Amino acid sequence: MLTDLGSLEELGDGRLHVRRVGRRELGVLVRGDRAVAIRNVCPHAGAPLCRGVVSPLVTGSLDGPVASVRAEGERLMVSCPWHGWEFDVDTGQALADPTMRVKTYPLIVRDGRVLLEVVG
Amino acid sequence: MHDGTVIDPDVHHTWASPAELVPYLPAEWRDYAQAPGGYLMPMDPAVMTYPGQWGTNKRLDTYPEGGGPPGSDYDTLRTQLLDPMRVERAVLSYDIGTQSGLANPYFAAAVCRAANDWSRDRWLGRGDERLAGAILVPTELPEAAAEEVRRLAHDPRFVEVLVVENTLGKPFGHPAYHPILAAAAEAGLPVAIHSGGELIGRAAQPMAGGIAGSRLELMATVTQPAMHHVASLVTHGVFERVPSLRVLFVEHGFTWLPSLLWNLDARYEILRRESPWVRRRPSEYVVDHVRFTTQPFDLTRDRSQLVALLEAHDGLDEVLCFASDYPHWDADEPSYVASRLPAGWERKVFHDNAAALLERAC
Repeated sequence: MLTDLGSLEELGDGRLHVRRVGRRELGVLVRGDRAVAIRNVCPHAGAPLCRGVVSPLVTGSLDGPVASVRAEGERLMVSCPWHGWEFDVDTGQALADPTMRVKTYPLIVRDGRVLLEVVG
Repeated sequence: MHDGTVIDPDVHHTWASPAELVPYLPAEWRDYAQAPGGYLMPMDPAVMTYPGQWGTNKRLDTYPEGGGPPGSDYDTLRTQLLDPMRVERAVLSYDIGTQSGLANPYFAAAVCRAANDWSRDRWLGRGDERLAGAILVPTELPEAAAEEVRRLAHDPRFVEVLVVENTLGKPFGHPAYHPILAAAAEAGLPVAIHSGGELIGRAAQPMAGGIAGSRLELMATVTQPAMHHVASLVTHGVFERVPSLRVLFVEHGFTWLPSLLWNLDARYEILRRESPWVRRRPSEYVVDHVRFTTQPFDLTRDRSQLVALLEAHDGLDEVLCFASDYPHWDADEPSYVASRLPAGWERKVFHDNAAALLERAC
């Protein structure tokens, strides 16, 4: 069964939009032709994860005389608004603890709509 | 787990705008602080803040929907903290009370008084009996600070004296600060020492390398001032001079405490020449007179590590008081803290230790 989460026009700005599906809240993120939903509960302490900040993964380099910090373009992270835990928006995996994961759901973009396949 | 009510001694309330304080200043300081055209000078000293991940040290969801900074809106604070956490009493302790670090000490004293009057009027006057107040004092003028304690001590809604800025560059047990401690004890109020007083404004060297260069560096080293303050309370005989004094260390963590107490206990007799008035084991003074909030809660990888540490020194079940530190980013959740404590400590840590300390509140 497909659940319609909204239009591409409405959701396709690269920001997290929270939608309620049944008893769950999901954050919907659409960038280009990629769409994913992520559960709006941080597994660390239960915070509303999708009220956090979405940004490219920040890495550092000690090459050269001055250390540098830069943001990679491809991999997006959502940082929890409470304690800053970072989760990969596509896989849900926590950066600080590989055993911790928030549930993610692949979405379908079709005919200008963003859809979630609900099983069961 | 803890299923009872909670006493929270570290809740940061603040004004929506510094302009809220202006009506509470006396005329001479109102004119000093304002220029025609609406310019208002800063009511806080320059603050060394360390953002979390996003330019603020606050939880992102604590910004009130109607505007204003976190901690400035009662309804937001009520729905996010007081109600869900079943708070019996919350001590409102400004954000974080650095006004005594303003460069001009007389203006600093006036702003502290204004802040206390603002808090009494705008928060304690709401009628929510869960809210309790802290008397913020100008630490650079200890006699003025003592006067401020005496001015407000009769109001039972104020449950502690709040000391933040280490303006004199001496540990808080030093005689220079004695008038504040004595006035608090005379009024029957504990003194709360909130962390950060060495990082802000004109404060003295806080750590070996000066000011920390990142939030992580800060979090790892912020306990250093507290260790010195605790040691100084012992070495200067504060609890012999003022036997009724109680002190609460707020937001300094606590797992460093057993190490400090072991060291003080092991050496106080052989190093007695400079402090012959230390008549009891230092750890006894601390367990009898000093309390520590649990935030930021030390995050051991395994619960058993923390339990072993806490149970390694007698009496620590009596000295810890849960605090949230709402609305800061590293605020602790009661359920997490409860899950990490030694068995049977919950009631004391979440309620009874703070209740005994803040007698006026409960």
